[in-house]
Amino acid sequence: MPKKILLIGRASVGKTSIKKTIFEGENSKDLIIHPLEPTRGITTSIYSWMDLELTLFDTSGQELPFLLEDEKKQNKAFNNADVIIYVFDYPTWASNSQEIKDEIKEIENLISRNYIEAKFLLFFHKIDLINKKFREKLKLLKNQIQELLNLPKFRKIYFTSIHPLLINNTYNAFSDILGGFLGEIFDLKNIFDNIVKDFPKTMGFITSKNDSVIVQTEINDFDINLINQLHAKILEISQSTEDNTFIGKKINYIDVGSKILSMIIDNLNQFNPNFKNIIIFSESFSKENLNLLIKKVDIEFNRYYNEK
Amino acid sequence: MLREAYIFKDKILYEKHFGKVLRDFNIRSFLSDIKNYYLLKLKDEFGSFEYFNYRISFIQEKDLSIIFIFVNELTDVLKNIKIELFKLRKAYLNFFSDLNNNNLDQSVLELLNPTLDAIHRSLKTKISLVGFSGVGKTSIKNLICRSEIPSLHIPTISGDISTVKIGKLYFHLLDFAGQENFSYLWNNFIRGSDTVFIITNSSLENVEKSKFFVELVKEYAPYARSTVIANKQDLPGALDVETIERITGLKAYAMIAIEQKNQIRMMNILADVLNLNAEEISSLQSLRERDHLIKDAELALKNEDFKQAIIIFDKIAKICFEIGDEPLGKEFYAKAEKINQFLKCKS
Repeated sequence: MPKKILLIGRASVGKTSIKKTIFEGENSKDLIIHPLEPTRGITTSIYSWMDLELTLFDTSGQELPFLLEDEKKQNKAFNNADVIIYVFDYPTWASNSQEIKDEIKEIENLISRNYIEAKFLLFFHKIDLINKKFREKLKLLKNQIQELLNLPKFRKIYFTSIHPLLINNTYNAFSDILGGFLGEIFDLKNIFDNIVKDFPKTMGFITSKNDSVIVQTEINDFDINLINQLHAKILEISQSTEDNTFIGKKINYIDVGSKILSMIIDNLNQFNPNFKNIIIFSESFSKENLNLLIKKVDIEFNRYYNEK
Repeated sequence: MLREAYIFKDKILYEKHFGKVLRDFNIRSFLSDIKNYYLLKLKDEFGSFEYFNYRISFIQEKDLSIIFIFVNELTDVLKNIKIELFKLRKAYLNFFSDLNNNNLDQSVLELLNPTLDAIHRSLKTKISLVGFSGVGKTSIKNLICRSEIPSLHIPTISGDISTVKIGKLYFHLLDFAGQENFSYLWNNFIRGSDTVFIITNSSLENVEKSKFFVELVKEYAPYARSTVIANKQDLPGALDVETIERITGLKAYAMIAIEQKNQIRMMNILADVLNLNAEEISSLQSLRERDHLIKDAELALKNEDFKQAIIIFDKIAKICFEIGDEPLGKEFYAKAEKINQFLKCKS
């Protein structure tokens, strides 16, 4: 059964551009310079993501008020949706935050009444337009948004952009969202979490063949700013693994943000061609610990795939 | 209602305006006086004083030598103002306390806009529509805002409170529809109001009766701005505005609320009475723009320039949605769609 994703939000917020860059491989720079024409009605597209088949419903921002009132249109858009993503952008947040609040509330009411199985989440888009100083303070912005929008704690917000330097955030967002639907990824995450939790101040990642993060162990000791920096580092490493100075279970020391972390990295595509690397970061420099960790992961993953 | 907000150090770091103030009221000229006087003298961090018909309140952040200032209506409750000022300071410290103060200016501090918009909404102005039944209160309400944000609905025995949006500003609109029998309840509602519109159908009998409301407002909302809307001016026997002003002692505006074309006039009246910048009620500018565009669209259709007509109808629809007139917006959007379909069939 293909998974249905619904994109909604106001006009010009970037929904169709997200679709085109993430799922159709279009050049994001072009789309920033030459914005697309407004979408009319609802367009449906089918894509593959790893082993998942997706139907993406892209809606018109100009018609959002219709959509929220007309039951027929609503049904077409919302019915059987697995994921509903409300997209809003930084410029609108800075100038019309109260309208966004009312809109999200209306959608939340609608979903809780009629479409309760759907996962509802938010994309805070165009973060490339945020002053550089605050891109490191996304946690504060997240708090402001959660407080002013009166969001329930479980409501997830992803910070996204299609700007070439920040688009990995959007890829990671989708990986996070969709990974939950792939049983294999879900299982691997559980196994990985179980192993890493015994090692303090340590975090693990698995990357896909297009360099986005598909598994990330539970965040306990690492704050959101550091994690964003780690994502950027992972992208850098992942893209440079043609020149393989890192790989091979050797322990490296890297400088990330305000910290120096030890890192170990290995290949993972022997299990699934869609995977690329497994990367583990730790504040502890104990070689025995890290080697033990990666050995455990090796054993458990092998066991998992043998049992399949 | 919150009219202005400032963050001041040695110069204005940030300001946001939600409405006009008195023409000669220029707080900027004495912002530094406030700061120097209170930072030096005041042991408490919070202070407030009345100035002409506004209330100026402020809170300081001594370590950063910064002062946060609000300009409010006299009808605003001091306790609430204080709460909101604390919120602003907290938000500021969250975002900016570790940044070099010399680089801070309006463009960086725009991150505080959502915080201030939320504060303004908390301190929102209450507009009351009062008048005996049949004078046209509902028509007037429809002129002000065609689509309201569903909020509290207190049963009709005492009145309807809705939140309306004019431009980007939020107001409580209290409608005393149909409960003359419960007139003793009206005091409570009028008490919280910042602005009262006394609506009359311009007949001599009704204007005389409406003096009751004038007295009510004087007693229970002395600081509120009250005005008379002389509705139904098209009916025979309607008193003219000067006469009504003489009888009631208040400023009056002529109106025929059932005519849609008077929407601009109603917005103008609101801007006048609430002392809002016409730009602040973007709806006012938008309404004018919309009327221009409608004429352009007619021309385009006449010249069979269909592509142009679609573009114009889209623009008109967008404006309608922006000002909260959804029904009309949908109409124009549907028109654009129709022409679009027509063009598709042709080719």
